[in-house]
Amino acid sequence: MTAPAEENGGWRDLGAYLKSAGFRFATLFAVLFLAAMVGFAFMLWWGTAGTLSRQIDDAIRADALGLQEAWRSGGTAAVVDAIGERLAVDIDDHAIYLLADSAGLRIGGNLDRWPAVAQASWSWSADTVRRDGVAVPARMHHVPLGQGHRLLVGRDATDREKLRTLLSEALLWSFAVAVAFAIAGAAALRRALGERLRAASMTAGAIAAGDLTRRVPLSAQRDEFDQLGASMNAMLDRIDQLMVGIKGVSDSIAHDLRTPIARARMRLENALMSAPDEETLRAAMETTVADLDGISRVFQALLRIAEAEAGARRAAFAPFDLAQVLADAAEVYGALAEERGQHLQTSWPDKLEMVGDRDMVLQAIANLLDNAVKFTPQGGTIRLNASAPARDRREISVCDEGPGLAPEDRARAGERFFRADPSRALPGSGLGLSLVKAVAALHGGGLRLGDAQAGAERTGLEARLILSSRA
Amino acid sequence: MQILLVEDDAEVARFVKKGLQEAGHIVEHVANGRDGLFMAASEPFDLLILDRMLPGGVDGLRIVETLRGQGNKTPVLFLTALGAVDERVKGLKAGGDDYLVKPFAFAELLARIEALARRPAMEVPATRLAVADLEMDLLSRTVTRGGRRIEVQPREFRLLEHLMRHMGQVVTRTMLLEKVWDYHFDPQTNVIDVHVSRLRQKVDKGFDVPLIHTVRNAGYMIRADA
Amino acid sequence: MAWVFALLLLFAPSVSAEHAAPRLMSDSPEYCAELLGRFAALGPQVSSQSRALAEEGRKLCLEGQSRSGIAKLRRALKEAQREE
Repeated sequence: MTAPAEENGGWRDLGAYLKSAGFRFATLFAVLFLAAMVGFAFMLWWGTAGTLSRQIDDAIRADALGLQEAWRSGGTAAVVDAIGERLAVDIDDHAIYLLADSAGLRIGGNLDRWPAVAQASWSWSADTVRRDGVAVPARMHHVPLGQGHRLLVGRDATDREKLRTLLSEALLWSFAVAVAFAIAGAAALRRALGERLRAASMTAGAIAAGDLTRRVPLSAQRDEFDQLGASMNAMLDRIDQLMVGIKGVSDSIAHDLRTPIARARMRLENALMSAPDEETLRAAMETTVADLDGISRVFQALLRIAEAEAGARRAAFAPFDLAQVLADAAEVYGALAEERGQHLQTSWPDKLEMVGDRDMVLQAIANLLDNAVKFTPQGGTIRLNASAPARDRREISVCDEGPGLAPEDRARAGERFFRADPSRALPGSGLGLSLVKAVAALHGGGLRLGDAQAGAERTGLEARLILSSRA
Repeated sequence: MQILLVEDDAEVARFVKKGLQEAGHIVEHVANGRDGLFMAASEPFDLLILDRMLPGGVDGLRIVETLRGQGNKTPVLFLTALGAVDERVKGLKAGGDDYLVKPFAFAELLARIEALARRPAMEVPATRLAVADLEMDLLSRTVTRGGRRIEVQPREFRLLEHLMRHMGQVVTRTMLLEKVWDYHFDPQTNVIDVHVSRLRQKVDKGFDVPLIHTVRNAGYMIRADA
Repeated sequence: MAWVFALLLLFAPSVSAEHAAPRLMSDSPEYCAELLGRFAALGPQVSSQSRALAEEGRKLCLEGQSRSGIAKLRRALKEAQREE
């Protein structure tokens, strides 16, 4: 029962082989190679045998013209004389002449009779003539002279034929060698292609089978195959990063959300067990509702961060004026700052066009301003600036007068739920900067944290949000 | 108002129905999409509250698309756990009028459906709005109370305008953010409160009767009587 | 028997063509003589070089090697022509 299947498999394999890119490339190479050979052979032929042919024809033509002149000036006798003289000094012994009258009888020249093939309307012909009993090829040209006389001029074409034969044989052998080379070259090409691709395809196979740590090995050549490998590696790194991100979110959720959930539960249970009156019970329930809202918002923020990191929002990018968004953010938070006796200083150009997600950019700026307002003491100044440092870059900076962030904390600031010590007591989920970082990445940029005033005791934080202005 | 609620979660449905009935509305409830579509198409309602993920082969989006295709213009509020911005956009594009994500505060739901129900009447362009002795001229962009001119910034003007257009109704902080600032974002702190309190300083301070009221756990309302 | 006939017919045209092929006459002893005559007609002022060549040609022709003789005589005539 297995035999038929095997047979089919064999044909299928052959089919696959023939359809493979490697085979097709190799075939293409072989065909081109052979075509080049044919072209070369043709040129060679034309240059040698062809030239020789042309030379012979030119010589014949010139000779005939000369003899026609002789006829015009001196008639039959002149032609016969001319022929005789030419023959007398024909050292190569290649010339053929025949002057025949209207009856076809020989009047002069060294051919004994008019060749049969030279009757046709075409004035050029090729035939064999006998020389010393041996048949030799000849190229002949005949012209009418007048009064029914005809002149035939020709040349012994033995040499030409010899060259042709020699050349044909040589070319045929060359072609055979070329075919062998073509096949060998095609096989080598196919092999080389297969080799280069193998690294990538094997890595892909290993990854599909589950080993996600594999990367495509790159050679030192930095050619297109290496670029393919490098792209694949970059893709795999990104997938890795996303998976780490997902794991990070699960860890964070597990760790940092369970606490408020547990707290809410405890409060309710406690109220159930020991609330003295309805009023206390109500109060406990209201607080719990607020707690649940808080948890809900944390979830929402986490989802937004995940969305931004996954790049899903990129499809919804549209052009908008960043200056307008900044103005709106400043307005919304300006009131808050005023309330706390803080001063919000702003500066940006009249228009800052860019392409992106307006809501997310506002969210990012809002988060930064929120932090600034939170950490700046009463009477302090918050600076919100923006500019276009390059044609496709937009930079937004928020400076506050708070305690700033220690350099070692800055790297961790983008982590979800990270709270640097000074801020642990303040309200906020610790997701603010995480979202800002994700939005920046989504827009092809980044978040840079530094000191607003280096060297001072309270350095303040300068948060620079860098965005690409194009999608 | 006659309200149709299409929601498959029994707890949520009970909670919403009870709350709305206590607020004086008549609520009809079905638990699957096909019945919902049938009811909405065959009986007249003032408002539809639809979940998006429904059993029965017909989901919330399909219901709205079908109704709009039939020329049915009943206001629709989506009440759903699908909270991503893309989903919200999908819902509104399909023909929905508002979109509220679960979990939600009941006060928010109530404020929004009352705002929806009020809407058609306010489509008629008005040039002046008035609550008690507070007057707003929309053409000249001026606010006066008791004859005295009040200076307001452009954003405060829009805030006040929104409150006045929904006078007597609760307007939640989220609604203000969406309608007055045209953004969907989540401020970490209650920045809206600050703006409203600034507006209050201008509009209510120094006058006998406060017009802008805070509704606990809900939002704000502008109203003539105390 | 019929097939032998058919085969013969096939070959016939080529055989007859062989006999019908024109013959070059400039390889014969007669032509040798003609060239000798031409040379002699040139007269006594020919150089010794060409005379030597002509002599060699005559010898070859007499020995029966017409073609070689004709070739020599032609060279002699060409040489003489060059000197003119």
